[in-house]
Amino acid sequence: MGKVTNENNVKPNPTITFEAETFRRIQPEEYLRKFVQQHVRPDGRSYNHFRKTTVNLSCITTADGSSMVRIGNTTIVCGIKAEVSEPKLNFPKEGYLVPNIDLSPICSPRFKPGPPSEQAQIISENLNKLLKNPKVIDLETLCIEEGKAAWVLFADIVCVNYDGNIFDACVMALISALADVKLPKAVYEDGLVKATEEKIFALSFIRIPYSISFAMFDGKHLLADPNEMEESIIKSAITIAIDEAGQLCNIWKVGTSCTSEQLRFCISKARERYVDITSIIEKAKQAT
Amino acid sequence: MAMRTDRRSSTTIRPISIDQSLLSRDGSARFNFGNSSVLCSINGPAEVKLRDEKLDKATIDVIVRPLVGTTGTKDRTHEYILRSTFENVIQAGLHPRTQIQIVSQVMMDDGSIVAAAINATTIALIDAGIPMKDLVAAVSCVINKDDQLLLDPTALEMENAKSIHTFAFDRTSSTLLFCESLGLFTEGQYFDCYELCNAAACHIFEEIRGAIQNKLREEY
Repeated sequence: MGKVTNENNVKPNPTITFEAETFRRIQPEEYLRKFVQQHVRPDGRSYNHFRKTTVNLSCITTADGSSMVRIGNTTIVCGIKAEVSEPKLNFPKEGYLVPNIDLSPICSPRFKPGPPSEQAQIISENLNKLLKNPKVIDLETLCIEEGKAAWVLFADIVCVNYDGNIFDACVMALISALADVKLPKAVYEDGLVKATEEKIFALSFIRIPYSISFAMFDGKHLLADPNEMEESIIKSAITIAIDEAGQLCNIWKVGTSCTSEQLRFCISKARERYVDITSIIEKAKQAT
Repeated sequence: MAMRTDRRSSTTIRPISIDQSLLSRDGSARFNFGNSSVLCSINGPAEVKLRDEKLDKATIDVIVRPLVGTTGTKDRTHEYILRSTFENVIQAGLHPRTQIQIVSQVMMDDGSIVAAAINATTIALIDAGIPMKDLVAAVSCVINKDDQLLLDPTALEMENAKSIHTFAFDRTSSTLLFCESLGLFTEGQYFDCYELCNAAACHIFEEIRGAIQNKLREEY
């Protein structure tokens, strides 16, 4: 019996791809380390190389604003639907924005159907914090009549394909979809809200933040824009959000320890990347 | 320098109080920053559910209970923060195929609650005798509307702040384990907060050390 299994396992001419694949499955961390020691990552990128990023605007015609963002193979679709509702009691002059993220089993086998996973909850919490503190959208412009009617923006973010760095993609999708929103002019008359047919009124942005993420491997190698395979091995992540004036809006760091020099390095790389993201989104705006 | 409502200077932390072994669990501790209070209990290493079992290390399970209401996304984020911070500190490899459960209950929320939860967890883990590579201490600080740094903010100060920063440091190398910064700030301000909180974390380590020494003196 032993002989038979042996013959099945050992191929007469084992190819190098077969061996590397086996190594990756058995020792994923060591596999990554072997690459990183040679200053390259398993997908051929260097440490500071971000994956190809594309943005499509107004891809969902039934939504009031929408976008699709691809970072490498990570694909996020964001659609925004505007509805009229009563403003919240403690903010009678403001409309509000409800981001919701859906990580369904279609994007990755790690997600199960049912209530939102822990990761989805953390992303939606962090997205909410990023939008509220500091303020991104001037919510007072969403007010139709003080204390009576205001626009509510439901932002539904759906992950279609999961290949790591999902928070950056979500932020890009949400911000570009918000910039794509066109609302009708609405007036409040005798308890009714009347809106014009044509959609003219765009949202007014206070600032435009984008987030940029890094993974830290073995406490010293900073890998920009980690993919799914890298994220599953590396438990240490640094996310930095900056706005167009270069001010920091959010820093989130979890996992193994890092020094202040490494943080400074991440911030400087994030600034470079911010310029790239802006030009990608500008191009997408011109294309539509 | 403007006085704060509780007459502290901008770089003082509120009086810290630490209680250990309050519950009949494997380990427990309560950590207070002034009125902010978090109770933490540790169960383990104990039997693990088959689904969560890891062959080479202990599973670390974190449950955060809010003061009022049911667990929401905010508490899930706190759970994630605690787990990702302590997974790197606990020597989980010494107890494979077991579970170490951390339960953190907010007792009173007057700001800096995440920092208090991290500190309570460190002390409770020591109380439970769980082997750790290092100790963790966390502090929050805010930058208010006048660009003034306030260490260990109260809930009111956090509400009126321009930016809120929470840092957790390890003891031996004083490097950053966890950081969450919200609001608008510059790079310079960020690293000012970093330095201030790093120094304050050293003070918290002293307090933790003192509390444990006192407890040992009482017991033996």
